[in-house]
Amino acid sequence: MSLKFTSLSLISKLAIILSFLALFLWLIPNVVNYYENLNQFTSKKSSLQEVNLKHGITQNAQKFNEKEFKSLATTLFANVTVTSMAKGKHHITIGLEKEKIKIFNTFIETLALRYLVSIENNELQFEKKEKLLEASFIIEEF
Amino acid sequence: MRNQQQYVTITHYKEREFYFLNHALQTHDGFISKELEQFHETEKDKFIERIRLLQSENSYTQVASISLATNQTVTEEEDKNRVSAKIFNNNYVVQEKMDIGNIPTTLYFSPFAILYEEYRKKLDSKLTLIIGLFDRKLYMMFATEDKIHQSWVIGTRGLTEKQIADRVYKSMKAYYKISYKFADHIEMLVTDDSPKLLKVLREELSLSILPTQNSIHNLLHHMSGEQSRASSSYIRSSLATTRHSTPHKSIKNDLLDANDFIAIQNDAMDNLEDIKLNESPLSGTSLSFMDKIKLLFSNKKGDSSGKQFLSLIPLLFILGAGTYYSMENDKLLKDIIVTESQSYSQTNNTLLAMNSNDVFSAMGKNAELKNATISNSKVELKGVVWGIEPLRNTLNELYNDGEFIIKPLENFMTEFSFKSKV
Repeated sequence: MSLKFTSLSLISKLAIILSFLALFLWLIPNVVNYYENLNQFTSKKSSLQEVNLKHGITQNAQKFNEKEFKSLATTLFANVTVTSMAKGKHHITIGLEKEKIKIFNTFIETLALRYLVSIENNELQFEKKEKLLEASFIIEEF
Repeated sequence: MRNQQQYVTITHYKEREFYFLNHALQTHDGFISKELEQFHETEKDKFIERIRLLQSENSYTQVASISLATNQTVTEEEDKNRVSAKIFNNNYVVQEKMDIGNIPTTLYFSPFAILYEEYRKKLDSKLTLIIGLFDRKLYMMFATEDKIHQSWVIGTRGLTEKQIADRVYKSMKAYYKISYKFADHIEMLVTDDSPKLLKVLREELSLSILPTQNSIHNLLHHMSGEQSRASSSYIRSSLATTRHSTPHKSIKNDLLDANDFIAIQNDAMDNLEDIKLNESPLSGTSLSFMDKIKLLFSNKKGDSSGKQFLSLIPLLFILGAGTYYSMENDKLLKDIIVTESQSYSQTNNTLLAMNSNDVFSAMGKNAELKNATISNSKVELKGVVWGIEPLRNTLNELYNDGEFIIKPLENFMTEFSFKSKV
C-alpha cells in the first residue's frame, strides 16, 4: 500500500490525502448534522400538523398575502382593513359583533397555522365603535 | 587532483561463482578500460571493499552492473509494481524484482537495453531478430525501427550448440505463429567467444547472422558513459528510493563536467540520483519518521494525467457530496427556524386568544367594554359596569394583582377600569 502510494505523483498523493481529510472532517460531520437537523425538523413539523388537524386545517402555513387574508377575514367579520407597514408588518382592523368574539378568538388562535406571521407584542386592541367592537393588531411576517 | 575530477565507471557482474570487476576512465573519445579483476564469491567482502575504494578514489563515479535474470520481458506498458527500464519509445523491459543485495551499484542495465542500444541505429522497417548471449543465456527480441514486438530469454546451460540453434529456430517459429512474420535478418551480440555457436546458428537458421563480440564490462562502460544513454535505459527499481546525500556529487553534474555531454532532455525521473539502489531506505530499518514522511511525498512523475485525474475523482465526489449536504443543511436550518417561529407564534396566539376569551367571559352581562388592551403580559380594560361586585370578583379570580376602579357617571351609570399584569 505504502509502495503503491509512493509511486503516485504529488498531485495524486495530495488529492488522496485531501479526499480523506474532506471525508472525515467535512463530509461525514455534514451528513450527520444534516440528518440530525432533518429529524428535528420532522419532529417539529409533525407537532404542528397535529395542531393543524385539531383545528381542521389541512394546508401548510403560507406566506402572508394581503388579498387572501382579507378575503378569508371578510367571510367571518365585517369591516376588515389591512394596512401595510414597513419591515413586513401589517396593521389589521376587524369590526365584529359581540356575538362573534369566540369566532374572533379562534381566528387569532389559528392565525399562525394559516400564515407565517406573528402578532406584534402578542397584543390586541379593542374599541367600541357604535354597535361594533373594533379589534386591531399588528402582524409581523417571519 | 586530476584524478578527482575524472568520471570513472565501475562495472561488475557475477558469473557462476566469480565476481568480475572493472573500471574505466571516461573521456571525450570514449572510455579507457583498466585491468579486469576477479573475485571468488567467498571474497565478496573484499570485492565490495574494492568497489568502495574505487568510489572513494574518484569523486565522480557510477557503478554499473547487469541484470541477468531470466524472467525479464519486454512490454509496451510500464508496470509500476515491478522493476522496469525504458528501452524504446513505447517499450519497457520489466522483471519481477531486483536482488539489490549489498553490492554497491548505481546503475542496473538489462541485456535487452544493451541490445537495443547496440542495434537501434540499424533497425528499420524490416523485422530483425536481435540475440544477445550473456552468461550462457540468449536474450532474444524481434524488433523494427518503431518497436520491439516480442522478447524471449532462453537458457543454454548444458545444451549443445545444435540444441541452442534449435531453440532459437523454435522461438522464430513461435513468433511466426503469432505474427505470421519471419525475421528478415539476425543480429547477434555475444559476450563470450563462441565461434562454434555462431557457426551452428548460421547453418541451422539459414539466415545471415551479423555477429558482434564485446565484453559485458565494455558494454556497461558504454552504457553508463553518457548520461542520456544511461538515464534512459537503466532499470528503475519500483522500490521507493530517497535522495541521500552521498560523498559522491550529483552524477548529472559529474557527467556534464567530465564529458561535456549534451544535457539530457528527458524528464526529471531520469535523474540518476534516483537509482542508488544500495542506499535504498528499504534495505535498512533505520528510517526516521520524517524520512518516511518524505518518502511518501517523494515526487515521482510516473503518473499519467489520466491517473492523476482518476485520483481527483474521489475528491471531486466528496466535494460535490459535501456541497450538496451543506446546501441542503442550510435550507433545512432555514425551514427549522421558520417552523420554530411558527410554533412559538401559534403558542402565543393560543394564550392571547385564551386571555381575550377570559376577559369577554368576565364581562358577561355585568359590563360592556369601551376599549381594552389585551396581551400575554398585561390587561387594561375600560367600560361601563352594571354588576360591580360580580365583575370585580370574576376579574380578581382571573388576575390576582389587578387594580379595579369604579367611577360614577352623570347618567347614573358606573364606569370601571381595570389594570393587571398577566
